[in-house]
Amino acid sequence: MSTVSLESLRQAFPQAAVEEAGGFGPAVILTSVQELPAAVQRLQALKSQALDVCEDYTALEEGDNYILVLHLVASADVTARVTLKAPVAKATAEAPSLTPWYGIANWYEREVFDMYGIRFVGHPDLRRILLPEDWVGHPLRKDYSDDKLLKRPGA
Amino acid sequence: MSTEISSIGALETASMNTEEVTLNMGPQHPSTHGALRLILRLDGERVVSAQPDFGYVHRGMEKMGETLTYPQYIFLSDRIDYLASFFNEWGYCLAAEKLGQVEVPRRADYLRVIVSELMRVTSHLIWLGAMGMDLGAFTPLTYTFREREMVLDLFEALCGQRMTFNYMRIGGVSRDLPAGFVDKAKAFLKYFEKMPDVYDALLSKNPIFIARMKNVGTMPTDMARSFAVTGPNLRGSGTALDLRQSEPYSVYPDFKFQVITRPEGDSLARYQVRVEEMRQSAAIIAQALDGIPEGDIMSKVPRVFKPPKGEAYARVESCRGIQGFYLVSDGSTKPTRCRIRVPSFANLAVMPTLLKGVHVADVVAIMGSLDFIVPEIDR
Repeated sequence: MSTVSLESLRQAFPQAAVEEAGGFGPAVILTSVQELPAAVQRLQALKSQALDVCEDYTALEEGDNYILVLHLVASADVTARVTLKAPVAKATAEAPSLTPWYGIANWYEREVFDMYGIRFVGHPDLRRILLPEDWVGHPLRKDYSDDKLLKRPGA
Repeated sequence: MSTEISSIGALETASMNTEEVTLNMGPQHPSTHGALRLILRLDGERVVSAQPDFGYVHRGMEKMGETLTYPQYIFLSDRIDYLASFFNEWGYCLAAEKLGQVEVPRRADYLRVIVSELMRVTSHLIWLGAMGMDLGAFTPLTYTFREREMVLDLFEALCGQRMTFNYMRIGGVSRDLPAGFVDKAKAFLKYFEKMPDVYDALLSKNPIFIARMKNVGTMPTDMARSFAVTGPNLRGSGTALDLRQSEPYSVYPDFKFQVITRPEGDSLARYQVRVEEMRQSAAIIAQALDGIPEGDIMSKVPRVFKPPKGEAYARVESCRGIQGFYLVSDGSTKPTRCRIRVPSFANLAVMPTLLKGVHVADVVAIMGSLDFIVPEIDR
C-alpha cells in the first residue's frame, strides 16, 4: 500500500503551501485559483502516483472568500489522495474551468455555480443543475435569504 | 434479407428527407427510477445526444445540514438514498466521529457491518427486479421482492423501521440485537444461499436477456476514470476498486471475501458483478454473525456533541459506489458545511457519453444497468 509522500508533493509544489492533514487524506495543498489548472495537471502527472480521479469537487465559504475544495485520488491506488484548495474572492467569484482535465468537472462545476454562484471561465455549458433555471440567488451562500425560508423559533 | 431488397431500402433512405426528433423520456417514465428527465435527440433509431435533466426531488440536504446539529442530521441522512440508508448513516457518523475523535466499540462496528451488508443485498435485489422489468421480464421482480421482505422483517425487529432506520449514532448504534435475530438472520442466509442460482436460471441464461445486455453500453476504463465512476459500475469495467478491501474501514479487515470484477465493461458485466456481490455480502454477514464480540454498543459521547474546529472527509463503499461526507466544524454544535458526495451523481454523469450513438431501445437497458437512484443525485 503506497500513498503520496509529503516530500514528493512539496517538490512538485515549491510555491504552494503543503500541509499535513489530520482528518482526511495525507495532505492539503493550498493554491491560488489562477494556478488551479496547472496544479491539477501537475498532480495528474505526478511520478510516484498519478492522481487522475476527481472524486469530489465542491466549495465552502470562509471570510471574504469562497474556497474550492477538490478531493483527488489515484485510480491505481485509492489510498493515494490529496485535497486541493483554492480561494476565490467573493467580489469576483470567478475561477478557471477544469473541464479539459476531468469529464466529471462539467457537472460538479455546474453544481458549484448553482449553489455558490462561482462562474467557471471556459466551461462549455454553465447553467444551473439542481435548481430551476429561474431561481434567484445561490442557496449555499451564508448570506442567502428567501421569503419562504422558515425562521426557527429563538434563532 | 436479400441484397435486392436492402439496396432498394438504401435508395429510399437516400432520397428521403430526414430530420432529428427530440424525445422527452420522463420525468414520469417507469424506467427512470425516480423523477429523471432525459432529453434525447434521435436520428431514426439512433441517439444523437442525451441530456439528463434532474433536480425534481431536490430537498436541500446540504443546506439543511448546516441548520441541524450533528445527531439531528442522522435521521435525514437516511433519506439521501432511501435504498441504502445504512450507508448514508454510516458515512455521516464516520465523518462526525473523525471530527470529534470518537472511538466506536467493536460490537457496534460488527452490528454496522451486518446491517449494511444486509442493506446491500436488498438494494441489489430491488435493482435486479427493476432491471428485469425494464427489459420486459416481470417475474424476477416478484422473486426479489419476496426475499427483500425477509430482510426488511429483520430490520423491523432490530429498530422498528423498514425503510428509514435512524439506527446508527455518533459513537455506536442505538439498539442491540433483539432476541432471536442471529438465528433468524442465519435462517435467511441459508434460504438465500441458493437464490442467485434461481435468478441465473430466470435471467442470466435467458438468450433474449443476454442479447439485450451483451456489448450494450460498453464503458472503457478511462471513461469511467474521467467521470469518477465508482462501485459495481467501475468493477464491471475491470477495476478492482472496493473500499472495503482497498482501504478497509471499520472491521472489514476481519472478513474474507472477494472483490468481483469483470473486464468487459458492458451492461451484462455490470449485471454479473452485482449478482455475484450478493453472494459475497452473504458470506460477510455469515462471518460477522459468527464473530460478534461481547461489549458495549455505544462509546461515551458527550450529550452535547461539539467537535473541535476542523474538517473531515469520510467515505464508505455503498451499494452504488463511494459515498463520501465532507464535514467542516467551527467548534459549535452544527457543521458549517455538510457536503455529500453521492455515487449516483458520477454514475449518471457518464450517461451522455455512454448513450451517444446507441439504439433508443438500449437506453433503458443501459440506464437499468447503471443502477442510479435519482433522489440521491438531487439530494
